[in-house]
Amino acid sequence: MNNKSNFTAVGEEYPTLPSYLARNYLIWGDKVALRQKDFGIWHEYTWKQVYEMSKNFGLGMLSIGLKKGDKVCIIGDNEVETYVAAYGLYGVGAVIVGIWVDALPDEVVYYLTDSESRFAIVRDQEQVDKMLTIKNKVPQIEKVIWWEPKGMAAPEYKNNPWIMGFNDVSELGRKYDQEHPGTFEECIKQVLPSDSANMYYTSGTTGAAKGVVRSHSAQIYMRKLLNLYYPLNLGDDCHSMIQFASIGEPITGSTANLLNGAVINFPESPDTTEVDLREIAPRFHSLTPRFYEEIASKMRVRIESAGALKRWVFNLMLPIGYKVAQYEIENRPLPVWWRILKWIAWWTAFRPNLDKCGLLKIKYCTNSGFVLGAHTFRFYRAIGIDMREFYASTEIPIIATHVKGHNIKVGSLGEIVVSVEVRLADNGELYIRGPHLFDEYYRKPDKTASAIDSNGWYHSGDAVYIDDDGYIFYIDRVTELASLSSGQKYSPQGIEAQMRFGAYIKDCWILGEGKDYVTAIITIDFDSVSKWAERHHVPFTTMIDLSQKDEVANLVLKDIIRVNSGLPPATRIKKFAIFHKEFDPDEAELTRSRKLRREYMYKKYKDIADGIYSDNDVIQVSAEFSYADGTKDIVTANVKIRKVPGEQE
Amino acid sequence: MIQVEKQTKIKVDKISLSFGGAMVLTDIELDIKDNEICAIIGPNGSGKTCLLNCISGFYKPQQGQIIYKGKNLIGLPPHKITTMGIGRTFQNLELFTGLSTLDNLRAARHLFIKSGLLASSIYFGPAHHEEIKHMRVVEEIIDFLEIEPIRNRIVGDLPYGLRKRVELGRALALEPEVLLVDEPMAGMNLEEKEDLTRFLLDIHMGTEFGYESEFLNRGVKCIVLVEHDMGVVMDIAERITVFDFGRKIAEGTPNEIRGDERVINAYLGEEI
Repeated sequence: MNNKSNFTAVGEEYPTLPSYLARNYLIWGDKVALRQKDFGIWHEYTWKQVYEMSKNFGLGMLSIGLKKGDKVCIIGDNEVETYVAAYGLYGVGAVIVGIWVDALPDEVVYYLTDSESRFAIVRDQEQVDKMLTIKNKVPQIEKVIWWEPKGMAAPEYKNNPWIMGFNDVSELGRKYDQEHPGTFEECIKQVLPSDSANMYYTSGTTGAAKGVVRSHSAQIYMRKLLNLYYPLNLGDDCHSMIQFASIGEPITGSTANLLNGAVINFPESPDTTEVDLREIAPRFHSLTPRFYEEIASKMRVRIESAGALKRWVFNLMLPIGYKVAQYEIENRPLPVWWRILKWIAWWTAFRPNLDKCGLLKIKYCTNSGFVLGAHTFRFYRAIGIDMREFYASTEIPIIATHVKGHNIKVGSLGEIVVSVEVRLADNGELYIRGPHLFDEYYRKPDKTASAIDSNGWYHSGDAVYIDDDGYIFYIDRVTELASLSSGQKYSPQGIEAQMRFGAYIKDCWILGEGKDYVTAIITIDFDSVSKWAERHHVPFTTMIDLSQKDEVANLVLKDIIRVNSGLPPATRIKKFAIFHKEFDPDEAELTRSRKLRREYMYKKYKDIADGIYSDNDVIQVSAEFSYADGTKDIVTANVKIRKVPGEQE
Repeated sequence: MIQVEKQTKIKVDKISLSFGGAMVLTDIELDIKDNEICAIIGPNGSGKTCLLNCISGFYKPQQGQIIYKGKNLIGLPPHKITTMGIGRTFQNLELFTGLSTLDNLRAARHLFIKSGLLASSIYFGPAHHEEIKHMRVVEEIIDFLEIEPIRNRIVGDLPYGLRKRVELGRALALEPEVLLVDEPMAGMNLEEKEDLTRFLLDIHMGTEFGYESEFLNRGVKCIVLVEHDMGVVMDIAERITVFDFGRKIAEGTPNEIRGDERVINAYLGEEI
């Protein structure tokens, strides 16, 4: 078991999540706790109401047989009922197991069985139907409780004793409270900080998914650490889109609500999120790169389709934003002249755009899950958003982050946060220790033992590089790493992903396993490069011809230099070649999901894979390929090998 | 299953309609009953929509009468018929394309608004409360038909399937006792058809969502459906009337109609 006895100083007065609920009832009774849009209007729920509703639901669960420590799964989008159920369950000492709404029936069976859940709380008819299809496989589930009445009036649901409505449970709880007043308060007192609060299932890409058990103290400590970097105040609006299945939920949702008194706002339906978000205008966003890229690209589309004047103003102001962002990234004082320009840019160009996508009142944006592309990161900072990287995992949420007032290194995950200790293992793996570490993998002592060693270090499985200033750079999962002949580890996939951010690069194949240095074989994006060539009067005939032009090589070189600047010197790309064709799934060079099939590629293109490490400037590459009608042909091309200036082999 | 009494809601009594020399409806006799989804089918040009137009007051048949609530509807203007509780949708969608979904539905509430021009302009006291009451009804319809995402979109920009839903919503906003639905499935894809069928059934049966609008909870008990999609008609209609060249050629349950020789001939053509 992990060594958490060092960290006992969890807020002594309010040691558990439900004790915060009770506190909020007393001190903020009439203040708004939750807000839900329904019938086109925002309905507010005060802490008193939330407390009463949670109490009724929690007691209702007791009266249908729930015991302290039981696991209860929740499947549903975030709505008032989700939080009322969660708080009620925290109050009676139950453990919440979140399951993704779109989980397949077999996955749900696994989660329910593995977590030994006794009850399932689901949103709607769709989830009830899912539960009915797996009923025989989950005999331990005693009741399925739904809260969205649409479609639930049919007799097959009404007459099924296995299924029960949320309101009926709450009604039972209300009666229970009348008969046994004070029970809920007594239950809250009996919950201990070390008791489990939540269980999150890891994605399970390697083997079966593991249930990460997190105690009340771990959840509370997580919020307290977050408060040091991203403080939220009473009444700050938050938006919680992330379901209870993910550790992202407490970051912007329940713990912010319970500890800080931030108001959680729920859109009318998942389809209206975009419109509702503008009305919510949250203070804090914690999303993954995919969402940020989507918001940014929608913003760009909106600008492109705007009138000529608006477009002109935005494009005029954007460089100012980038310049100001650069000052902020480097943490240099902003000259008065730039301050004036920043003010003008904000009011004329950025503010109206941020308003449209609900980012007007945002205080901080954090990105987690994977490093945000440098372009997008800078774009957000340029338009006036305090975008910061945030390194977290389910097991130990919040490890490192960019700090306000410090230098921000783009591409890094930021600096290690207070009270978290880290250590780099010999193989480059990051070991972490901190007060908000998870307790165990549920019913998997062997997995727990291999993840948390006897000294309490959590073996993250992430290979990172920590620079001299203490900034963490993510490399890859340790298992995905390759090593140079010197033993230096590097991440082929990580570098390839970085390269693909380049607008003119389609794919990239990083070589170097067992060699002295790293090289890259790059395929260009024919569409964008050919357009570029036309604009810059570079004549070409075919893809083969275009790919070997020096002008194109210089274009690609810019991206290599960009990627190299974020890599440790030993693993930077030293030589590269631009391939004469695109990698093709039909030639089995890529999988259908466009992942490189390294071993096959090495066999097929051995000439160039070895040749790039020779002294030759040109390598003749010949490869068989098939036409659509099945006939085969051999294409031969001379591929130039180029050196990256400034990099020693 | 509880047997509900099926009283005649609208009695169409031997109506005939002609445009110049062209007879479009000839001696049509039909009992539209309460607590029933009644379908009218027939080949193109057989007079189905004409019948709906006669009931809703757009056309005036030269002969016969249409009795509803003890009154003859023939000769009454369409807006009078609407206030009597007959709502309808149109085959070719007759929405205000320049207005938002919300405004289209609000416009339908016009006939329930009691405040005068002055009170509404000042928008104080009763007029204000009245507006809130009507907004609630409209929002409940939006919730029921799941059109929240398009609440503020201009109807003219919406895809066809959604516009049909908006039109259905507008008909509902009239709180009708009888709902005339003209070819709701035309131009819809399979998923949209499934959704709309579900909505029609829910409208008929009523919901238990706890809405404030009593008519949504109760449901519209009498629905007349003009439709070409046989799958839908056979699944949801309890009684089917078949038209051909302006005459009623058959009437019965889906099973009876399926085997009726005249219907097969009308739809598939006769061998010569």
